[in-house]
Amino acid sequence: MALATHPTAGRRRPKSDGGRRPGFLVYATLVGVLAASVFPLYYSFVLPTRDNSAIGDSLLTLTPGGNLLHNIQRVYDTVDFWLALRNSLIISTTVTVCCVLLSSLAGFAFAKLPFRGRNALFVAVVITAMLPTQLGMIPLYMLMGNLGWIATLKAVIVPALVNAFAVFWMRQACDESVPYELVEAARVDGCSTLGIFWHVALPAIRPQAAVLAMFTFMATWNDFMWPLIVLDPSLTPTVQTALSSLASGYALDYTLILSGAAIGVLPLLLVFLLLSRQIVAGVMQGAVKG
Amino acid sequence: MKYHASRRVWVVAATATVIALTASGCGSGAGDSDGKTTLTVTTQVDYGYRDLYKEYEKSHPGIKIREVLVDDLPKKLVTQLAANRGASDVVGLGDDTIGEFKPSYQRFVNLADHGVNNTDDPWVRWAYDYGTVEGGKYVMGLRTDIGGLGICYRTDLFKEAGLPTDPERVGQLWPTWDKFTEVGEEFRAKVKDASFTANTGDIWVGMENQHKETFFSESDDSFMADENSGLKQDFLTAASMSVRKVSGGYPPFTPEMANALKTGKAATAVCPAWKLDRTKEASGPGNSGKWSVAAAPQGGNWGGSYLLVPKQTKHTKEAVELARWLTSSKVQKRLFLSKGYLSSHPSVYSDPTVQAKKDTYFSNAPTGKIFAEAVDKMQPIYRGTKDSDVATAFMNALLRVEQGKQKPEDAWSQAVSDAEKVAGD
Amino acid sequence: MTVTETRPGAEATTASAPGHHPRRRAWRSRLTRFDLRYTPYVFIAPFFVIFGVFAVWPLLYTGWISFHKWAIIEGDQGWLGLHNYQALFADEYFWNALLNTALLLVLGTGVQLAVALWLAGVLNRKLSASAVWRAGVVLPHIVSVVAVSLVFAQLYGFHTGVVNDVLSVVGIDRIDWQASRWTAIPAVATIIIWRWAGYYALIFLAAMQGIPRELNEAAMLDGASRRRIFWSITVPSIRPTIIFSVVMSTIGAMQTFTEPQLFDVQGTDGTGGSDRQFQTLMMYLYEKGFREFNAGYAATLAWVMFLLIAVVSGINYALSRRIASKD
Repeated sequence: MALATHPTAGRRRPKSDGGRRPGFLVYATLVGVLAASVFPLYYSFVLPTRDNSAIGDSLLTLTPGGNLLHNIQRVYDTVDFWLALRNSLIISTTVTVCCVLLSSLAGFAFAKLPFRGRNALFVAVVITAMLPTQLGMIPLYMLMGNLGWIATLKAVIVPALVNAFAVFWMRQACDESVPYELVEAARVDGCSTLGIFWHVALPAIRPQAAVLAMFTFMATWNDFMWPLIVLDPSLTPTVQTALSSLASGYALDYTLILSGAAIGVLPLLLVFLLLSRQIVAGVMQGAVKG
Repeated sequence: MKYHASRRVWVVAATATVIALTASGCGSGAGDSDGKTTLTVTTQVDYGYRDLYKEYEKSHPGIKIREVLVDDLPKKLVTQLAANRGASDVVGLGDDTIGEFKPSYQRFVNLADHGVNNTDDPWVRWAYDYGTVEGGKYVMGLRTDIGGLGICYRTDLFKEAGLPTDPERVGQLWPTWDKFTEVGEEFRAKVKDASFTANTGDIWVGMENQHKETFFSESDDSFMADENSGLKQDFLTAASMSVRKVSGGYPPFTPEMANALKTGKAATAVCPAWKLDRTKEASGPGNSGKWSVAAAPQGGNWGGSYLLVPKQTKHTKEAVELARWLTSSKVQKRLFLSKGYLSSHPSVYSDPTVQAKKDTYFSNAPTGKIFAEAVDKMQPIYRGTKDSDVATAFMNALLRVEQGKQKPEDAWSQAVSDAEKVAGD
Repeated sequence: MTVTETRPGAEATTASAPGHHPRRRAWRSRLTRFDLRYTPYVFIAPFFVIFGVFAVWPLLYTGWISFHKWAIIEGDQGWLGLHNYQALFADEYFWNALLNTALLLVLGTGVQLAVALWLAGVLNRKLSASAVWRAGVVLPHIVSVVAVSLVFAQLYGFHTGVVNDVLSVVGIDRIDWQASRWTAIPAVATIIIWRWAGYYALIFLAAMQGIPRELNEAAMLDGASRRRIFWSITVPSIRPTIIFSVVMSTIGAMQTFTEPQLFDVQGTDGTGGSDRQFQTLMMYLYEKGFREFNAGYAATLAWVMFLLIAVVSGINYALSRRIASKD
């Protein structure tokens, strides 16, 4: 949406090499890129439609078969995929909503509220954004043990509730999209700080929040290592750990694994297709600018 | 207008979060719904119990069974036992991993307290004993099947190579693994587009299971692979199969291997009893009648498992009952007839109907007879507490030889030093 | 949580309407002052508290653990001083993993950012159906990394993989991709590139859209070639984004785990190939910490990785500043 209103859109361009519309070659390249991005995805949707005696065939067989439903049934027979889907949904939704809300709050404070130590604290945020927090997982695991959180969803949710990059991103968003005048006006009207955040800032930063939400959701949904370590595959499987269980042991059966993968990716694909326009637009708006 | 729309989104999202948090508050989804007792059975691989569960649920209306496969079960179980949380009601451990849990046997229910003994429905002595500690007073686990060792082979390819195809005579071709390798070379000279055996990894596991002690010493659980000359000899024999191009290098348990079985690129595969069903599945219905089974060189056992009930379970009685049923001779006989899993009950494997069982897929080879022959002579293998950690080093070593990266001797030395590092601390 | 808050705006109007209660007004203004002064801290507190407890503290405590013999389950087994560090620096598997990680960093992250930059340049032109192309390039990023790694492991299979099928059509011998570092690492790198190039392309594109068009048009009028415009106008203008992406993706790449781990035929049991030819630092950390339960050693590795990341990020920052600002 933001793209359509670009000032030069629709204006006649001077005739020069740079202004020429992209030619066949560019589109051919793009088609190639698109094919490369879609192929493994296509492949992971085709294999599940074939019957499992085909797994030994050469894998360069790309036409779909008619066994999708049967294979999906086998996935549910083999692992508790409903539970995995439910857990992944709970984890990803909670993390996404909390992360966006909490980092919007902090971002708003850093961008628009004056307080002592603001700059120093923000520098702290920027520095922590670069911390490889995954490396702390050994004490984190032991901490979870002490809290009695091992094998509970909390162990995955709580540490992911905030992250420095999100705060950074939302500060940027507030900085650009929330005009001071509106903040001041709301204050004069007697709005409390929380009120201003809720009524003024939040609506203004919606597109960037949507982008953050989408990427947080995707990253959480696809997280593998930490859930593998701290969750329990029988009590609290996630889609990813369930997939790796399907791939385990004596499973020769890739149709089964990829059937699971296909189901596991559907929620994301759906959200993505519904939101892709907004997300692309939001990324454009929230670009990290100099 | 915009305000309201956006606020509604947030309210919905926040409500969803609150619901999600409350829902996740209690942690697990494995609660007992609709008044039924849910028993979770976790195994590392598919034990083929699915239909049995359904039947059990029918005959026990108060019970629901949840089946879970866990890739890394032994590792997870260690942490579950330590945290005293998360272990399933019934846990299946392979005969190669139960040893790692013997030091912590008190975390499992003593099944002897629940009426288990080896007289009512006896298991073969050694298999039962291996699931017990304290000199048999503490019964940790109940034996499922036995992995009597056999070799699956393609009759069509054997014919092409001028080798016999009758199971009896094929078995006589290879009294030892060295002989097996020689037959392989003979085969390779005649048949160009197929390798004699699928991979060396499976061969090695078969061999390794023929020793009484492997990586760790039975007396004090110390690392002994470096001094185990018999084991080393077997390793070198297995590795030489890659060097002498007897093995095709299709890694165990991969689609590559399935493809090799299906397209006739490998003439033999190591087949413990439980693998027959999987071989059948991998090579597909189109190959029915092309396969057969013969006894393996030097006999032996690969695989078979125990069902254990961790003390954490809230349903001890029900869990024990289920484990007993699943490992009973009645059920094991059915598993043999439907899937070919060799029973650990003498009453089953010496049963005439079992002995007479022939499998059309495997050219009517008398599978029951072939596998049952060796059972009485078998002995359990001592497994150290770090056995599975160490085993990886040796599998990797064979793979290195198979990939042409190392000579067998060097691969062995590196495997031993890798294993020592793991075993060291 | 936030849902249950009262709506201060509404409350404020009812409170000030009669206006006869001086005491109440004083209370009100004190409240406002309190609000002005302390609410910002309340807003940023959740971040600092949660991040401090669940991210910073574990990271620092990792350092403490690294000086001990420490088992994940049994806990502290005594002070070791620098012993773990000595052992780590004498451990050839550590150096091996470091080399692999570095190679993946260059081949994966380096190429991925280059591809991303190029893609962004293409997408920045006036394309028809631009939304389709843009959505298309980020599509790989949403697919489960577990599934993707498994699919790629399949594609690169020795005997039956599609990649080798294609190569053999062209007349090249089948390659045992897993067997050697020099084939396995590039194969894993393609997974990483495939997953991330589109993602970063979109970020670069976003920045490019912010460049004033007049700048480009003036250059075009001067007869500058497209390549020249790209290098002397576009790239320098998005320099901060490039630096940011380089630093962030480096940090990510230093911790690569899932792709190489699942590329191993042995899955989560694997050691990154028969000779650890594609084992990364993070995989080694997993092996030590969560398969052998040797927390002390794993913590040492983590702490060294932490320092390495800091150094590499610094170098990266300096380098990418220079490269992006050249000309």
